[in-house]
Formats: sequence, C-alpha cells, structure tokens
Amino acid sequence: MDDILRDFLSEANDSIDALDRALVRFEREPGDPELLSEIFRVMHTIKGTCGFLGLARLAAVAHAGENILGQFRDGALSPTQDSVSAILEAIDLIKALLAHLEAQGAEPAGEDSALIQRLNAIASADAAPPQAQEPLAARVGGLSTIDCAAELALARAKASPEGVRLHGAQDDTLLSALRDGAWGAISGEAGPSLSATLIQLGLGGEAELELLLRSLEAGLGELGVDAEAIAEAMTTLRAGDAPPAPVVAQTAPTAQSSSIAAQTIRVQVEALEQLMNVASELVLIRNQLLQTLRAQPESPFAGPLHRLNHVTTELQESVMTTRMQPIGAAWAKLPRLARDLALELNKRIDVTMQGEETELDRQVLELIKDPLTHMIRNAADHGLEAPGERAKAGKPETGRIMLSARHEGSHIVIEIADDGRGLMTAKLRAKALAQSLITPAEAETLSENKIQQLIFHPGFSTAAQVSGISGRGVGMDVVRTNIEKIGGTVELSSTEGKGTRFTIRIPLTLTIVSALIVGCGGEKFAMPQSSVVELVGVGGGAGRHIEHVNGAPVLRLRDRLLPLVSLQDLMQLDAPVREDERCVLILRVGALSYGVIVDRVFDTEEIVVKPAASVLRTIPYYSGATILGDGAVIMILDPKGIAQRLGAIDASSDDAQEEARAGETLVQLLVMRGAGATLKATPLQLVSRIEEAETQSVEYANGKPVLQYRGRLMPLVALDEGVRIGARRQPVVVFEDETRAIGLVVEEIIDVVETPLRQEFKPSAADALGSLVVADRVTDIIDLAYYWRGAAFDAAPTRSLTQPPTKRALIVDPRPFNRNLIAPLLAMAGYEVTMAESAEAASALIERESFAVIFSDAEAPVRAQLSASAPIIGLYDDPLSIRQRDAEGFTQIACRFDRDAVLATLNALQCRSAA
Amino acid sequence: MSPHAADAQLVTMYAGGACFGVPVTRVRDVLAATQIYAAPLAPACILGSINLRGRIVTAIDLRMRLALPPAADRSASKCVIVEHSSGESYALLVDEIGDVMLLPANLYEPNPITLNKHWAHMCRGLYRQDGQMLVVLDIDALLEIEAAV
Repeated sequence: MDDILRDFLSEANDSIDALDRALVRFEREPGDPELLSEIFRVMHTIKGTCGFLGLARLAAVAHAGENILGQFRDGALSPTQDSVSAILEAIDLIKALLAHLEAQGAEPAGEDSALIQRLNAIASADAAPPQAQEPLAARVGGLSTIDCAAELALARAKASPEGVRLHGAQDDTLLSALRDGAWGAISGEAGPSLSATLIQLGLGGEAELELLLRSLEAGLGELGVDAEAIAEAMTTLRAGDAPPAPVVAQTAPTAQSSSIAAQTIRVQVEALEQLMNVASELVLIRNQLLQTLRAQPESPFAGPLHRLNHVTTELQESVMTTRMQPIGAAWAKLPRLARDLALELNKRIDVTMQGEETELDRQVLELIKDPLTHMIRNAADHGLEAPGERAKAGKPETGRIMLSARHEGSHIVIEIADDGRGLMTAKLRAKALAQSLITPAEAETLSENKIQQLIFHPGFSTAAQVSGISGRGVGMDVVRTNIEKIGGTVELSSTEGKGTRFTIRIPLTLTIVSALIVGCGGEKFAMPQSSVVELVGVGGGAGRHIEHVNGAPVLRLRDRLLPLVSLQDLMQLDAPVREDERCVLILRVGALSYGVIVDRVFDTEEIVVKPAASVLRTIPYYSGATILGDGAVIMILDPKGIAQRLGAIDASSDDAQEEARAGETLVQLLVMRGAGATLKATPLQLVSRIEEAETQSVEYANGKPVLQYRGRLMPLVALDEGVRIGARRQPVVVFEDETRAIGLVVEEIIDVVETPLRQEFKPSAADALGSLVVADRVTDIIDLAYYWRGAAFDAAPTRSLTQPPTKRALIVDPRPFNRNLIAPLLAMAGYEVTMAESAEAASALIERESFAVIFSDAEAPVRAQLSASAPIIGLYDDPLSIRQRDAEGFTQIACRFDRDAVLATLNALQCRSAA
Repeated sequence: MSPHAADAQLVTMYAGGACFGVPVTRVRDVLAATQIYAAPLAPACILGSINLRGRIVTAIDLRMRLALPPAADRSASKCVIVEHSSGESYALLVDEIGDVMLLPANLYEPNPITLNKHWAHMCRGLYRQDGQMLVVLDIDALLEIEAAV
C-alpha cells in the first residue's frame, strides 16, 4: 500500500469519527449553522479525497450523504431522525469500506445503489417536485455532483493512456479547471470555460479536452445522475466551448487544512515507543551517575552532571508529552454510541463531556477505551430509566450521562455519572444472596457501600434479561481489573433513585513513577509513591506501638485502627529484625487503608518500571521490577496485591467503624488517669469543661479544697486516692448543673475515644460503675454519684430549698449503667431518686409511693407495663434507633446522653406542675 | 529445531558433572559470575535477577532446575543468557561453559527410556560421542517453572 493511501486512511478514519460526533450533536442542535458547515465540510473532504484517489464506491456513498447534508445546509430539508440515521448508515458503510480498503488495499467489489437510492430519496423528499423546467444544474445534482464527477473524471483520464500529457499539470489546477468549467457551462454562470483553462495550462489539445469530457460523462454516470441530464449536460458543455476567455487570474489551489497541517505531523507509534524507551534508559543512567557522584562530591564531573540531570529530566518530560493525547480521543465514539443505544432502548439519552482536552498517556488511553464503553452501556441500559418512568419520578425525560476528566497531581480523574435510578441495594442484596456471594448474616449487616461494591464481583449481574448490550455479567470486574492493571482505581457511589457515579483515577504515565525505596530483612523494595499516604515511625522513641488484636498486628492512628502487614513475614525473609525501631507505610488502595511494616525507609526515587519476569507474575505482591541508581535490581511492590493478604479483614477501618456503628451505639468517652494503674473514663456528654488548676489557685474552705470557678466556689475531688490536689498543675474535669459544680482532679487527660457501648460490667469499686475495654485497655467508668457525694460539704447548698426535696423520681432501666447515668443529674436537680430494674419492680414501687416523674428506657419493652399518673419520660441511646411508635406513650423522649435535653424536659415538667 | 534432519550446532555447558547443549540460535550471551539480586518468594530454582547492561534478566540455577545437587561455590558459576520463544531472556547459571559444537545427526539419539522423568520433558534427545553424553535442553520447557507461591 503506498503512502498516499496510508495517509488517506488514517485521515479518513479521523474524519469519520469527527463526523459521527458532529452529526449526533447536530441532531440535537439542528439550529447550529457552524456545526452544519463543519459536518458538510468534513463529508465534502472525504468525498473529494475518495474521488481524487479514484475510489468510486466510497465517493458515491459519500456523495449521496453529502447531498442530504447539502439539503440541510440549504434549508431545503430539515434533519429528522430518519434522515440523520440514514446518513449515519452511510457513514457506517464508509467505515466498512475503509476497513476493507485498509485490509486488502482496494475497495470491495459491489455497489451500494440501494442505500444511495434511499439517501437520494430522502434528499429529494422535501425538494420541490421535479419540474420539467428544472434547471439543468439541479438535475445534474448541483455543484457537488459536478465536483465529484470532476474528480472521478480526472482520475480516470490520467489513468488512461491518452491522458499522458495531463500529468504535466498540477492536479489541483486541473481539477478546478474541469469543475469550474463544467459547472460554469451547466449552470450558466459566467466563468472560464474548460477549454480556455486547458489552453492556459498548455494542454490545449483537442485530445485532452475530449478525454476529459468523456471522463466527466462517465463520472456523472457513476454518480447515478439521470442519463437524460447527463446527455443534456454534455451537450451544453461541448457547445459552450467558447473561444478562449480573457485571462483569468488563476486562483491558487485551496490548500487543504493549511495552517493546522503545519502544526502537526504524523509519527509512527513505534518511533515514539522507541524514543520513550531510550529516554527511560537515560533516566536510569542519570540516576546511576548521580549516585556515584554522591560518594564524591568534589569530583570535577559534578557540574556537568548536574546540568545533565536537568536536561535528562526535561527530555523525559518532553517525551512523555509527545505521548500525551487528550481524553476526548477516547470519548470520541461515545456520543454516537449513546445515540444508538437510545434508539435501541427507546430511551432519551444525553451525553455531556467536560474536560475533553485533559491529556493522558497514549498507552493509558488505549487501555481505558473499552472500560469506558462498557460503563456507558451499563449506564444507558441499566442506569437510566425509560422516559415514562423518569417522568413519574419527577425527572426530566432525557437521561443524562456526564463524563468529566481532570488532572489531580500525577493522576487523571475521570468520572462517569448518570442521573438514573442508581443501584438498588435491596435487589443487589437479594441477588448476592441468591448467588451465595454473601451469607444471610452478611446480607443483614453489610453496609450499603459494601453491597454496592459487589457489582465488581465476577459473574455478578442483576440484569433480569441479558440484553444484547450488557448484562452478561462479565462486565464490571473486567473493568476494574483492567484499570487496576495500570495502577488505577475505580470507586463507585450511588444513591437509589438519584443516580450512580464511577470515579476512575489513573496515573498519568506508566513507565516512570516516583517510588519510596524501603528496606526489609536485608532486601530493598520499591513502593509506588502514589499509594503511600503517610509514614509512621513505631517503637523506640517514636511513641507509637504496634498492638495486636486477635494475633493480628494493628496500629492505632488518630483513633482509627489500621490493619498491618509485616513485609518481612510476607516475603518470608528471616534476617534478624530490630523490633524497637521500625517504620510503617500507611497505604491507601481505593477505599482501603492499611499499613506495611518495614525495617527502614531509604529515600524516594524516580524509577523506570519494568515488567516482572513471567515466572514471577503469579506472585501477587509484585507489580514489576526496576534498576536502582547503584545497579541493583529490586522488586516493585503492588499495594493491591499486598492488601489481599489482609484476607478476612477486607473492610477499611472506616467500614469497620461503620459496622460497629450499625450494630452498637458508640459513645464518646473521656479517658483520664489518676494515680492508680487503671484508666478511668466518663461519658464526654456529662463533662462541662476541662480546666487546668495551678497549685496556687487551689484554696481551702472548711479544710476542703475548692477552686474559684465562674464566680463561685467549686469543690475539688481527687479521681483516686493517690492524686494530691494542688501538688502541681493538674487537669480538672468539671461537671455541673445549673447551680452546682464539682471539679474532678486527675493526673492526666489521656484521650477522647469513641467506643461501642458494650455492656460488660463488673462493678469493681465504689467509685466505678463498671469496666470496659477501651482501645485495648481496661478502663473503669466512674460513678459520678460517688464523686458528688464525696464533694458534699458542710456549706449549705447554693440552691435555696424553697421546695423540700420530696420530689421523687423513678428510673426504670434494666441496665445499671443507664440508671446511674441519669441518677446524678436528677439528684442535682433536686429529686430524690429511686431506681428499679424492671417493670415489675417499678410497678410495685409506684403503688407504694408517688413519683413526680418516671424515667424509663424507651427501647426496652418496659413502657407498656407501666401505668402511672406521673409523666413518663422515655430515654434512648441513639436518635437514629428510636422509632415513631416507640415514642408514643411517653410524655416526652430524650437522649440519655444529652444532659441538656434531659434537664429541659424536667424543667418543662416543673413549669407545668407549677403552673 | 529438529535434531533429526540436520547436524546441530549447540553451545555446550556443564552442570553437576553432566554436559548439556542449547541450540546456538537461542543463546544470546555468556558471562562470568555476576551479582544476583534476590527476588523473594520466587520458586527455589529462580535465584533472582541480574542487571545485564540495564536489562533485568531472571537468573535460574540449572542444577536446581534439573534437581541436581547445588554447587558448592556459586561465585564461580557462569551465566548463559538464553532466549525463550516469547523473546524474553533468562540467565542460566552453570558450572562451566564449553565450546560451540557441531554435532552430526548420526550421533543423535532420542530420550532413553531410562532418562530421569523429571528431565524427560525438558530434554530433546542426546548425542553420544566418545562415551560422553550431551543432553539437548528444551529451553521453553526448561523455563516453564511452576510458581511456588
């Protein structure tokens, strides 16, 4: 295949893609004249080049398409779905012909008169009915036909033995001459006649003229022009051969794609690959030189080497840029795809694109084309609802698929979102259960996000029917695998009824990445920098320690528990290890965070990624190998592969906490330390403030330590015996109600920890309600009532006792913790508190005594069994867990951890009873 | 390349006292001992990788691959760089490297039945000369190493 044809093919393919896109847009915005011109221009160019190269079949089809477009442009035809579909059909045929041409070097035999006739029929459908008086120009098919015929004619003429002399003239000039001359004669417009121009070109011979005319006639015939019209045209042409017209300035042949062509040049892909490889090798050698230089900083090579360093970096970056292509190239076919899908599925689909100019590596672009196509199909098929359904849901009838791309650091982030029906969790759950992907227990407890993630599972598909488009269940897992193979991630978020969004993050380049060089067991490894979010030193003076939960190492990092993997264990390295000082790399893979324990971290290096040897490819922990500056070959670690090692703990720590939340109530505890070994804690909700008391601020009233606090004297109590109040500056935890306050003096405030309220209680000492395990340490929950009692001092209570404390409150709750939580509050509010464990006990008490108010657990089935004239207030742990019907039957409900709410309800009751 | 039809040109090498041959067209290079960088978790016979003028080449111990006792001193080993049919290069660690020999077809014998089963699928016959036996190695089969992990 010669170069001309090769060039033509690649240009034609690009043009066809552009045409596809433009046409789909045009269908939606028919009023855009610029768009239409562009479309027409592209089709015209295609037709022209095909004709020029003598590709008759292609030219004919293109010509027929161009006819319709011409009609659009002239306003004689309005674009309808049918006409646009017909043109698209023509485009598809052209694509097929081009493909054949590429494969075989020639057009396939055959003809397309059926399609052409249909196209012509459409083109002439709205035209004025053919009149007998219709001008020849129109009957011949207009300028475009003459144009096409001229090209065909020229090609034919030059191929003919008699056309030898024609080769002496410039093609463009000849073409213009033939076209303009013919058109001039046929349309009656003034202009240089053919023969005149020919003479000017030095081709004035009769033979050439006749040859051209004959070829023109044949060309018109091939284009399907009506025979009668042809005959008439030829007669006109021959007759119109006037004597040479006055010299007409030759118009310069219009240069096709003039300035734009000058700015781009076509390069073989292999050449770019080679360039990239060589540049990478240069990077490696540069690294090696720099390494050597580090050992000899005084070397005379230092200066030139540094310059070499800069130049190499620039070269590397420049070469990478040559490989960059805008992502619009991958999106090119998607609008057409969406249009076809819309027709097939009887839906209305609109595709919007943002950030099409965002560039990424050519190699990466190729790899994501298929995944993108698949996701669009999914969105169209499963995501977007039919117009009727959408209308019912209050959405616009046209569904939208939104593509967007942007750069973020060294990655490109691509989003595919639709405003369809979103993932239906219930359906997913059911399907997963049916396919035994999850156990019934999991079906209950797995969070919505985790259920959604199931769509990435191989073989999973909830499509009731496997449609021709998608639903074969081989989709999303392949998509994710393909994307992860190139070091990218796919995340999904979906809201039922609203839509779904996929977020793909891909590194901009695959070949040279930034990596952290780490050491473990005497070996070095490279960890891609992009996955590393943090480095944490453990042991030694670093303060953090690796703890173990069920034998698995974990690290507590800012109140999250991260699972850890020991690289030494993973790689089965048995070199001696210094337990004291090690390093943990915190990695993030998709939504999962975890840590890798290594011995030490060396530095960051730009490394050239080489594929791992085939025999090593089965090892999931490696994603390749590289050569360091010193020539050493080290393996590149794969964060995703290592994450698999975490096995059963395949939830991110966020998820773990979420599950904890789902199952149990979480409460925030203030953890503090007294002189004793055991930590103490109290619900943060009960704490008013944390103060720091200087030794000198502590005063004594009646021999008891007090602190001036907000204009009154606050008694201080020690957390435990060993705490010496006033010995030095100490934290004071203040609990207060409206009138009284008490300061709990501790040695140290440790932390605030969110922990599930696991009710394992063994009331250990008088000052504690029970013990919990908080962050793996046994912690006592202090009994505030004890401390309040301890603070009772001889001074009269500041509260004036206008009402004698005969108000009695009853707390009904099976759980001691809950009872003891409220009791101090009520006591402070002036109630005499009685507690009952069960409804029976409570009822018994109610019969004997009268209570002003009863507090009951809202969630336990206690309420039903209580009958009393006093108001009953329901207390609950978690606002989300309380249901409407639970609330009925109670005068009021409040969250037991919310002091203010509880006091407010009491106040309201008091006001009511006072009124 | 079928040893039957024509004479064979083989690069000869020695490992564990036995003599082996590889078609010369498959041999890219021969080297003296060179540093091998470990690849943890690789199958036992894979010693690691070597840096061959900027290319990463996987090193395989021929003795181990053929279940021969390991060499006493690996630092004296030589490397034969061979090419898998896929184009990927591998380094075979051997004790000694011999000459390139042209072996006449009439000295060729197919694998004897008594040949160690483990070797059988990696060998494609042998040549007998002066009581010496030269086993022809099938490179592709040799490099089909099952993953250990």
